[in-house]
Amino acid sequence: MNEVVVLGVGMHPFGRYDHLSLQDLSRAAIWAAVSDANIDPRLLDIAYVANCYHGFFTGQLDAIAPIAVKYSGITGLPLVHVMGGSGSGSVAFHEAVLAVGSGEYSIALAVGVEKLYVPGDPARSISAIQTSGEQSVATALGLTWIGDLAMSARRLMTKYGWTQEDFALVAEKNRHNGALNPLAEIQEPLTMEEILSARVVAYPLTRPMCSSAAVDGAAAAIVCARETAESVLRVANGAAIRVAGMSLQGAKYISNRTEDVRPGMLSMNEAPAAFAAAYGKAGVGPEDVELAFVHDAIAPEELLSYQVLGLCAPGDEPRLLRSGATRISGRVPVNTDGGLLARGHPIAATALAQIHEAVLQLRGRAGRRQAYPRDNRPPRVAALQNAGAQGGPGGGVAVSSGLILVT
Amino acid sequence: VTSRLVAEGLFERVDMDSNAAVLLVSRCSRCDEVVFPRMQDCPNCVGQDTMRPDRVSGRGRLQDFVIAQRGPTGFRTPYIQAYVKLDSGLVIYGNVEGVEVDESAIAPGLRVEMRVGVIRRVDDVDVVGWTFRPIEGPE
Repeated sequence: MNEVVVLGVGMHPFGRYDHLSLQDLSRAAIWAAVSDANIDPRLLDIAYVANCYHGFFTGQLDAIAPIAVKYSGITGLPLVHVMGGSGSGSVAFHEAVLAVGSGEYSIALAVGVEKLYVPGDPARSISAIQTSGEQSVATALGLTWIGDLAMSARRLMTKYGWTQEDFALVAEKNRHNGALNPLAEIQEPLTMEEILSARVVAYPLTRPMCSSAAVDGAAAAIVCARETAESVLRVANGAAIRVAGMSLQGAKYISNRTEDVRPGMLSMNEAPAAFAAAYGKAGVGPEDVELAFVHDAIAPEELLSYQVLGLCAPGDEPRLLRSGATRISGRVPVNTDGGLLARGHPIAATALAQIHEAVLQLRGRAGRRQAYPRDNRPPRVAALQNAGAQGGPGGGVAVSSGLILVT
Repeated sequence: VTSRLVAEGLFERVDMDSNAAVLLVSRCSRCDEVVFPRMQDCPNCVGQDTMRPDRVSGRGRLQDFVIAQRGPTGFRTPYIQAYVKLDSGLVIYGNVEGVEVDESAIAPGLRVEMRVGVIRRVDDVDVVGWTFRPIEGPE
């Protein structure tokens, strides 16, 4: 594998855009990434498009990739559609990295785009995201993502002594960060009191502790081999952000005779394996991580991610959180863009939005959100965690991603 | 109003009065793993064509539950979502009915039984699946 770098990133702000189409959102993110990469877009020679629900809402089950890309005016390249629930963006990015890392392609685009907001019908958005879990059994019977996650959270409260206040503090932190992010779905900060007294979605989760299914958005990244960047595109030596390590893992079947059939939380169960591999490839460890993005579809997932990424010992998550270490001002800021809770979670766009923010932070160009975790300089090593799509015997996720980006 | 099954081959009603049901599962002839829904190949020992059709009791104990205030189209909210550990060890999903929708009304360990019934109505079609209801304690 050639060493791969991120040439550029772009986003369409996350939010509710009744008047915009799928291609309106994707073309904006694509051109933002092209502009950021400062390349002629005709140099792109393959594109991977992550999208989960265009077919659900429109009946347009295939040809998603050409719709998402060609209305940007960029044509003449292979266009590949990928799906993997909330992990779709990681799948697209992983494919793009493999395409240029292998040397088969020169410059690859990964774009994630989703339109989920249905005016006046939140149940329809929930029904759409339900299709990222196998339909025949649990979801058809009434299980929702939020319900499943809330049940896991309740088990982990018993196991580790986590409290609803701990979850509120995650939400308070991420809402604070989102308020500094003009691309975030939600830009209003909330106090602990407001979060704890908000409407209960599924106890212990109040509304601000849950990401919303009703959100639209797009995010994109352009990657190439480091050598291409330096020799063909004349990017200054070492100026581009490096993809130091990436690993996708999938859930292994766990026997019914195992005592704890549902070990942790859906999005995190395979993350330790993904990060063991990603840290190994990158030649770094948890102690080197100066910035992290994690899959906080609900606030307790961020808490669990602290142990999963090795940022603290199991059970010490609330202490790490309360110490302020994971705030923008801390030594290992987590979800500086507001995370899924505030930046938003338009499913297939999410992982590419994480990459977008990580790249800005590593470059030192995150504006009011810029973190200086150590020695008064921008972070050098970022860890990004994401996962999605559930089904088959034993449940579990189809893809769990660990990604290390370094300057 | 017409009705349809949530999917074919998942369960069988065994008591027409109570609507109690058994779950249609597969059991591995090589490692004895029980899986649901039915499949040919074993995900535990990764055996090809080792699974045989079997049925297991729909009785078990509440493992995890949560009260959902919102649900997908057609579900009456709020409702209780739950994972139940069946007596065979299989953990399966079902909504809990027959108790007050209140945190203090139920707790993990509650003895429950699977009952066939309408779980939601979508576009004038009743979808038939199962829910769990509390039962008195014979083990």
